[in-house]
Amino acid sequence: MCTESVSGFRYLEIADSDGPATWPDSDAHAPESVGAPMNDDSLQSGIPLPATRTPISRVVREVIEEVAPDETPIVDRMEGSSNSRAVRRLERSAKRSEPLAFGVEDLIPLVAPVVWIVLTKFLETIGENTAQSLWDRLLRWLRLRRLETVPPLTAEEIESACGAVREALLGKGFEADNADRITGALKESLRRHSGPDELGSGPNPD
Amino acid sequence: MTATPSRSRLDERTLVAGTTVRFVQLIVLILAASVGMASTMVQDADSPDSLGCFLAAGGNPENFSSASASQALLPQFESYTACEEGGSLQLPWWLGAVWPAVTVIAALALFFLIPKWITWRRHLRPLAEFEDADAVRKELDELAGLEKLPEIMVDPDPLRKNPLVFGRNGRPVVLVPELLLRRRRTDRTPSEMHRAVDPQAFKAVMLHEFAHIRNRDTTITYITVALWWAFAATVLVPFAAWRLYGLRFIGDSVSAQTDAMLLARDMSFAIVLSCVIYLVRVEVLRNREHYADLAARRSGADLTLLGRDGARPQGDRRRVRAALRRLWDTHPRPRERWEVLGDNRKLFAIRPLPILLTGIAAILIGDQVQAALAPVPWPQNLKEALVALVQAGLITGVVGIALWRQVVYAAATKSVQPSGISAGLWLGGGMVIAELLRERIYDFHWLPSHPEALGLLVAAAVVGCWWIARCAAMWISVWRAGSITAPALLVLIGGALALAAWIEWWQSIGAGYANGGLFNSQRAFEYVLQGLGIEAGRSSAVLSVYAALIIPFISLQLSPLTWAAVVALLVIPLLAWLSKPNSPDPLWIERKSDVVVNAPLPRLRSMLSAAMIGGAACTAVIIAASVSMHRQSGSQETNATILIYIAWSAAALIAGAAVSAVLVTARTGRHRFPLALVAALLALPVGVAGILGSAAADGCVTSTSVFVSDCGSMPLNAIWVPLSWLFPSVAVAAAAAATVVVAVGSVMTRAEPVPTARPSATRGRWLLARRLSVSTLCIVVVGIAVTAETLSGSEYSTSDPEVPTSGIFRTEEIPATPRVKALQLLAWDQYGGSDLLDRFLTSFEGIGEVVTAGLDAEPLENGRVVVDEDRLRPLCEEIAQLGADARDYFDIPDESVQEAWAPALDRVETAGSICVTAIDTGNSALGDRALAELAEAAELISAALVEFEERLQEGTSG
Repeated sequence: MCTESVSGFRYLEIADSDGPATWPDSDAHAPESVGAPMNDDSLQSGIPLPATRTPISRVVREVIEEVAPDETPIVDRMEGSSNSRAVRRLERSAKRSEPLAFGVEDLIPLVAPVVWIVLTKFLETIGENTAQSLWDRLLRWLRLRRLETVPPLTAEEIESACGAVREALLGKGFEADNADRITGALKESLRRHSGPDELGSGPNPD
Repeated sequence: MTATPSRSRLDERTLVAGTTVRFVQLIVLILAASVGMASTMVQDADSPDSLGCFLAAGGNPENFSSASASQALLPQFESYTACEEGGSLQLPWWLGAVWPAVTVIAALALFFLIPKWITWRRHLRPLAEFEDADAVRKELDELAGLEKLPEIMVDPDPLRKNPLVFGRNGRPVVLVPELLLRRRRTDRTPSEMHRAVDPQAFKAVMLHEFAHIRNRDTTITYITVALWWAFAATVLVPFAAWRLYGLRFIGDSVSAQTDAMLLARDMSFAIVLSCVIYLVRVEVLRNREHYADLAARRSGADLTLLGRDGARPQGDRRRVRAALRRLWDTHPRPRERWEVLGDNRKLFAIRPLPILLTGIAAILIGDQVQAALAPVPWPQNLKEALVALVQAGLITGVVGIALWRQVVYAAATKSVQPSGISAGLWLGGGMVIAELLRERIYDFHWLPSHPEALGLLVAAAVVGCWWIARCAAMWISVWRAGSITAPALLVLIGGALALAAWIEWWQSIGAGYANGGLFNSQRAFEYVLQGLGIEAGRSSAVLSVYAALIIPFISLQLSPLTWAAVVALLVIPLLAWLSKPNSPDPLWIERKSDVVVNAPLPRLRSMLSAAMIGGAACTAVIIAASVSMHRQSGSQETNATILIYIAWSAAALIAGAAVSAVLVTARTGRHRFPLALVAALLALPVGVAGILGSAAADGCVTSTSVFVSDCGSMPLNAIWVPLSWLFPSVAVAAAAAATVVVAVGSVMTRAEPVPTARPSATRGRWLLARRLSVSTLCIVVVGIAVTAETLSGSEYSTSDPEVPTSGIFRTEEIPATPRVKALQLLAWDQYGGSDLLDRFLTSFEGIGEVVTAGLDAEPLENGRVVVDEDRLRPLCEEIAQLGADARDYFDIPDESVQEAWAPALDRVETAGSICVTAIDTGNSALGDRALAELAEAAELISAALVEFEERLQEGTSG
């Protein structure tokens, strides 16, 4: 709880500061959007991001750096893309159907795409964060617009998100121990970044 | 080590896989679609007014049939041509072919650019730049087993896992993901999350790619990829844009409903065509993956990784969605690949999708090739035969090979022999779908007038597949040589010829029936009677039946391929008796378990005796008919008697053939369908001999005398000539009767099980006699067919040109609705009517001005008015010309308006010519008359226009 509280406070601190240089956890990969009304991605994609939320890519990066550092190039590759575009690229690469290829995507299971795609999909299902306008819903239904940031989450929602990711990892052939390690890292990251928008003391009690 | 156990019972390479034919089919489909769609666009641009001219001529698009179109266009054909040429850009006919040439050039360019594009787009690096390059190269070189290791490129994309082959057969490039190279090891540090790619898996994956190279898949795959994109860019998108551009004009058109329907059908056609092309492509690619897996395993690949059960979709809806998505994938599911590695029976099974797509593709190809050939100045029947051969060749190549594989597998595993009927149903279904979507000129309905006629397509497809499957089973049971390809090719060629004859019939006659009927049988029959010099209107039960059947019956032999089809149905099964029945086990099959039993054919004697009995039955029928005719003799004139006798002869021949088929069906357990056809067709010459014998004996026995009373005085040519002319139709009808007999027989009785004992030896002397008999029969049959086909062109083409034929076209007199009437009137107005009226008005006013100017001027001493002749003459000439032009243009497409319009034109023409004469001769009386005629003409035209407006209002107000 304490972590989340501090985390939420830190957002505000950063919002008042000049930029990512003061990011306390990782100066190399501080999310550009945090503390700014609109980040570069959102400028590129034209999608406004909530001013005080953590991008989903940030959570994924934390998890990957902790449990599968050799997949960091995947996260690096998505740097500068909106979450919509990143998920789209990851999904496309998983469904890649090329003539005369070997054609088995599970040949080498990767952590990053599973965590990224499943987490985004799960967070989108949480009622508070679904698109409100018809246009937004249509874009989301067409997979043209995805959730960009981690919304406020309850402990149960974090558990559910990690459960969904774990199930997907097992489905992709990861061993149970490894799946647990990955979801453990994910849980920690989500706890850090899923506090309420305002000065909060932890996940949304709802 | 090969860790993927195989329970396959037959080597999948026993017979060709048929994928090359399917690639060819795909290429032909794309090219045909390009040519056809480009031609349509060129023709639209060249003759944008065909529909308008059709309406202006009085054509009724809501009551379409070829006959009604002909009825509307034929009497005014010159006007119609002139109308079409009016808006034509006069583009050369070959322009439609230039566009596809652009497609082909674009495809070729793409084909050579794709490797460069992949290399550039993916930032591929040569293997040499990889840290472990030499070791990897050495390892791959050992694995590949190729003369020369292909170029290896490394893909640095951290998300790419699968290797890939691209380039062309002569210069393949293997793309290896860097991720795969880095992960290929056995050890794993504890912190690593992933399974590593162990050496066996790496080896299996790479062997799969090398198998694609060995199977020579690269060029053909990337040619189809390039063709697809070139087609999409140069044809599909412009075609869709062209049609959508047409939307602009729909809103303000009276024919909006019709235009919208045509647009919807064209767009559906383009969408279905694109889907078929894409689906055929990925279906073939999926098949090639199985062959690459099997080839990789033969090279020692352990493909266990395919057997890892991935997450399966839960719930029915998700499963259905996943199944639909898989249709568009280039690879089968790993689980499916694993199952095929375990048991390759799927590679021998008939899969509905490719068969259905083949049916659709065949009709679309025919349609497109026909559209492309339309402007080519070749004889129509040659073009039709060519198109039919292309269609039939592709159908037989794909479906026939699939059937052969299915039958071979059943024979090798002693399973139930497939009938081919399900394949026929899928094929026919595909053809029906395509038939509903194809372009039908001036037909503005989704369904043809008689959709039930489409059932013929399904029936023909079923019979064709049945015949191929049964012939295949028959040949498999006797063939002993090292390869089964030769008999397979023979049967497929025979099937293709029969199918081509059928398709040609369908395109020229059958589709016409579906679209509203082509002929008036009664009128056609009268035409035949007239040709024979028989008084029309005679009543006879036989003649009535004859009248009803004559056109469909004769239409059976219109195709130049009919003879070829009949010969194929007869000779191909017959040749099986040339084989040696007691030879050892077949060499073409590599058995893994059961021995293929050498199943004997029935005795040739039994077949021939069935044919003889059928011939005898035919003779009996004609003798009975002669007795009946003798009783009625005296009431018919000779030509009518001959006609009735010929009708009876045809019926007797078909009945005799049916008797032969019944005998074979009853006696034969296996192979009864092709054998019943052989016996039925062999019964025909025996029956013809019986008929001629009976005719020769006319007059010898009083009770059977029909024509003459003196024995031996009957000229046989009187019977032989018409009978030989009808023979191809009789043969087709006999084959159809035999098919029905076997179908009924098969439902009623079960075929014998596959024999398990080796047949008894046939002694050499008997074998020689059998071979001699079969060879002689085949040579005679082919000789007769070739002679008949050669003669048919010259001998029977001397029809009497004086006999009127126009009434043969059936005309269903359904009046046009007020809406269509309004459309026709508007079109008449738009495509020339309003021009004529404008010209008349201008000239009329001009003459009025000239005359008024004369009246205002000083009159002559004799009181007469002087008019300016120099101004008047061209106006009078214009009036005269106007009358002639109006006659050359269409009649007004409404009877009552035309009745008012025609006398007005007479007046206009008269007024013009009198006026010119009056000026030439200076005859003022004539001038006065001309003016009076002109005033009269103006009144008549005005009255006609009032009626015209009324009709138009009736149509547009509703």
